[in-house]
Amino acid sequence: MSQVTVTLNGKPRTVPDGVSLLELLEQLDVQPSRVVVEHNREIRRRDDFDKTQVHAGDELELVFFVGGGAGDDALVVGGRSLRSRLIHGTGKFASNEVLARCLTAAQPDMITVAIRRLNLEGGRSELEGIDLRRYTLLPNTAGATTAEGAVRLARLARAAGFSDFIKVEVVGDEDTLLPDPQATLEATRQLVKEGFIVMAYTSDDVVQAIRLYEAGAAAVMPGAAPIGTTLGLQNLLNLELIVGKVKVPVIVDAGLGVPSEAARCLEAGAAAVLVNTAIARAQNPPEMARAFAEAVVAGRRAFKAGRAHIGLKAVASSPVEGLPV
Amino acid sequence: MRLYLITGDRGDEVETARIVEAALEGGATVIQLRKKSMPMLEQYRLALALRILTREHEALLIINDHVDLAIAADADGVHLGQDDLPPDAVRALPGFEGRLIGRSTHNLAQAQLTVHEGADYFAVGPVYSTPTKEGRPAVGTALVSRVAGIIDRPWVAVGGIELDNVATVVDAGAPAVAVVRAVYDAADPAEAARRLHEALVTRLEVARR
Repeated sequence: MSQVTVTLNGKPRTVPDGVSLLELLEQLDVQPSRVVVEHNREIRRRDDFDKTQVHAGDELELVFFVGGGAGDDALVVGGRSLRSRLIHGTGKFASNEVLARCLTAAQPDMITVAIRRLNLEGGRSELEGIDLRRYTLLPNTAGATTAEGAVRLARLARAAGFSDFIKVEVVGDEDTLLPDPQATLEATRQLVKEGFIVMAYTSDDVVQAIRLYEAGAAAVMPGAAPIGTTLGLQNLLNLELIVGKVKVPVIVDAGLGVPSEAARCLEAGAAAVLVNTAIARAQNPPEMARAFAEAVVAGRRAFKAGRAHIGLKAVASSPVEGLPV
Repeated sequence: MRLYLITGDRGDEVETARIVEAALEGGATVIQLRKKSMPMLEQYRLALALRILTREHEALLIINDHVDLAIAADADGVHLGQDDLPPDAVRALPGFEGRLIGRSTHNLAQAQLTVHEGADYFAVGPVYSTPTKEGRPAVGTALVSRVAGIIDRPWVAVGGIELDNVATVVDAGAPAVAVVRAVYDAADPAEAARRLHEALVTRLEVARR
């Protein structure tokens, strides 16, 4: 059999002329059941793998619907791996150009998008020059005031191809923008049932966090402080208690102000932070984006390293032996 | 996911419900009830049937044009054309709260305006010429690419999309597609929906790389 060149997942590859898809998959050590094959832009059914022959110039795409390859200490939410522990907001930026520079600086894997635009002023709704397909999108249900409304927005986001992820956010009080516990729980239950990867925004209430975890949330997202305030982490104890009780990633969302607070959250065992206003409204947003990205790396490293014990008696760090008295 | 079915004009309540059910089984996640010539009482009965089917499949039910029907049948939302009521006026109607608003757009300016008017999603098209919208010029995949480049709202490409061209539309940047004929008029709507859906998600995965 003569050898010919085909394009396999965008790269040239030499294969025997007329080889069947089934034989090719065997050569590549790929189980046919784990892959969808696009051959010259048409999907080939698994039953047809042995009948379909590959010839010179053919275009083949093998698509595996599994994540992975994100490194040892990846953040795993709902079975998906994220390298960066900084989830980047996309609202309130002065311009798309500034947002694009922040994303370049911070290199997040996951970025948030509002399904429903909230205000006419200052709300950005276009992302010119930003390739959304490079990111895992976390759509949120902001704008919903009932569980039913949140479920609808989530279904719309999924149907529109944003992602299976949904940040459930049901505002319970218009002044503080704090979430409605009952409606958040109801929407979480329903969306989990429908197979969404639910990340639930909540206040720092410990029992509510436990209930959301029990309801099947893939991540629980307690606020550090009310949205947009940049007041920083208001209740470290509650965060630690939540981390201790909830067996899924705890992602601190809303209200952070500076990178040290993000690092503090990670040191306390939070899996990630979501930051928007603190970056968007910084004097130099891209620099602040980078600082937050570095802070979460430091905080995570510190958490894994384990902190030193707290002592009440001073102990010199420098050696004292041999010194004149 | 990602596959939005708009009902064709052909067929009575029973026939339409049967096709919709098949499409839902094939992977459609949004159903738009669009019947230009069916009497309203029949549309209402059909909407109630589709409400049950879409709930069973955890899909969205959207009603074309008729806000009153959307509320009466407890649909998830309404889809409006450019000459219909503006989204904020619909949003303020009693009984509409919490429902979704979609809008048809035919150029970039309309798409941008729709976002600013507060629609929850919009459709861009017709990408290819289609008998469903006779006389409306096709906008082509160039518009799909322009919209994809700047808009982070839920939206779908619509108009003449079928199995043969869905990869091209996805490559142009469409995150989801809406169809009438490719599924509604197929001999086997469930299989047609399944194949279209599979082609769509596979191409999206390729585009992601």
